[in-house]
Amino acid sequence: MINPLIGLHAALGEFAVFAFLWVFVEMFNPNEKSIERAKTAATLGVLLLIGTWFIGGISYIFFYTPDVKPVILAGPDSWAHEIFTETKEHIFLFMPIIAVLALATLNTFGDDIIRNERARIGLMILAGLVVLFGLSMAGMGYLISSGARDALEAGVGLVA
Amino acid sequence: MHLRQGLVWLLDRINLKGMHIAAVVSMAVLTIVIIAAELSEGFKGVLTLLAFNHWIAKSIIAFAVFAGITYLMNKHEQGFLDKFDAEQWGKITSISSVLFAVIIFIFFTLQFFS
Repeated sequence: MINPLIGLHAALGEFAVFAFLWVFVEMFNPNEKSIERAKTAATLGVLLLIGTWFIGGISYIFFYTPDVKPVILAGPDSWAHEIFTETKEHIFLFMPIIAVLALATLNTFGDDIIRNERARIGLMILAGLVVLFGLSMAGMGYLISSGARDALEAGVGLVA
Repeated sequence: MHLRQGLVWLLDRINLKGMHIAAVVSMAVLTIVIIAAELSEGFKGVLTLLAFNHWIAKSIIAFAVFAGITYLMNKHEQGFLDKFDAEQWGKITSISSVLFAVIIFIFFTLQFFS
């Protein structure tokens, strides 16, 4: 059966990426209103990342590890777990840290970002980094689910 | 709205330079812990014993190091924000995080092929 937690984990993560993309775009030509919107987007992004962290953790420990991991490892694409799940589950832990850093930069400088070019670029680097890491998470998620599908197509897990 | 105001209240009192250092150190510690846990089953067992699952233990370590160093370095000097170069620190933190991510990816790739 399809586990809804995986979908929720992916959805929260994608909306977090959109939130930081929003922050990035608002910083192209900042004014008081766009700073306020960026603060809302960054706060939402941090909360969504914390949500995807918890939901992803629950599904990884209680669903993926006992049910999906053995199927992928027994299938033709064991690299999907051994390289990409291992990389994804660990690199993900960088994302909330960078996201909180972006939110703190935005809140600390506030409207000064309009005049402080270096603060604006510093914030754009952090927001862009969250987006890039988020997109790489989605790509690795695709490879992992492809590994599980390939294993099922190869007959792994079928009872004779 | 109250939640956002709470986060704003908390985060606009932070020394950003200290927070950037905390981020780089916590990601470095995390990378070392990840590789050490793969190379030593005993260490991975200790992490599992500490927090039910080694991934939860690593999450707690990353958060604790980040929060701890941010707290310890949270001293504001007069006009600290004027001296703080957000672009330079943004570059340092982003290059470090990409570097640590690449190290983790290469480590698991080599482990798979060995």
